[in-house]
Amino acid sequence: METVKKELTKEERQANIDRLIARWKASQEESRRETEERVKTPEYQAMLRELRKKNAERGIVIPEL
Amino acid sequence: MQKEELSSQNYNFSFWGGVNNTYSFQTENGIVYEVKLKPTPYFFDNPLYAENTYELSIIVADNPTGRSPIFDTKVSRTIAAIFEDFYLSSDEHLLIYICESADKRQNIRKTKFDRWFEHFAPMDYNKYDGGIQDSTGEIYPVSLILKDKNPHKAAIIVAFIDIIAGYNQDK
Repeated sequence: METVKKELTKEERQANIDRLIARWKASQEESRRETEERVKTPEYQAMLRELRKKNAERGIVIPEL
Repeated sequence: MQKEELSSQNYNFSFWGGVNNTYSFQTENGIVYEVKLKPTPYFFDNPLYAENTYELSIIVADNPTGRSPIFDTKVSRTIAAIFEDFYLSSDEHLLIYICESADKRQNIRKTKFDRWFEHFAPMDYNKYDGGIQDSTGEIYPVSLILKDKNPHKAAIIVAFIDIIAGYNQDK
């Protein structure tokens, strides 16, 4: 499919970039919040124990801090 | 051979799944990372590859050392192994990585990310780099990663250049 790119002014292009960055920042913030919530859960602690065990089986020792 | 080599030199990781395809792993220093591959359909306009576009986030979930994480080759190899796992479901997946700049350390992050990429470069991945500048003058390094065999590779690269130039359309 052939498309014709509409010419945009410098200001319009900058507005597009600003919108993209704003959207990405909001998404990053959401991801960080999701992680912060997850680390408080018992499932997360269980996962760490399991990872520690699996790593130890391969000789990688992760200290319990 | 490559996979075998990776599996003996990376950390074990867990896949949480979910909409954001979250993976977790912990380093020898006790640092916990989360790697998220979040669907980002708004990035590209073309539906042929927009639906296969994911935003890569590498988040430090816990850092008991209290210091900035040092470069660790096992981290690189773990991220490479996670990528391998993720790309197993489709060669058409695309990753977009934008470096966080809130603390003005985006160039350090970019260098670190480039070093990580060196570890999966041999596995048929291509990386294209650029930078986007917001109206305050802040520059955000941005990378596109795709498999060499992606059938839409040429069109994706052109679209990526357009986005950097501000020709993305709001969706």
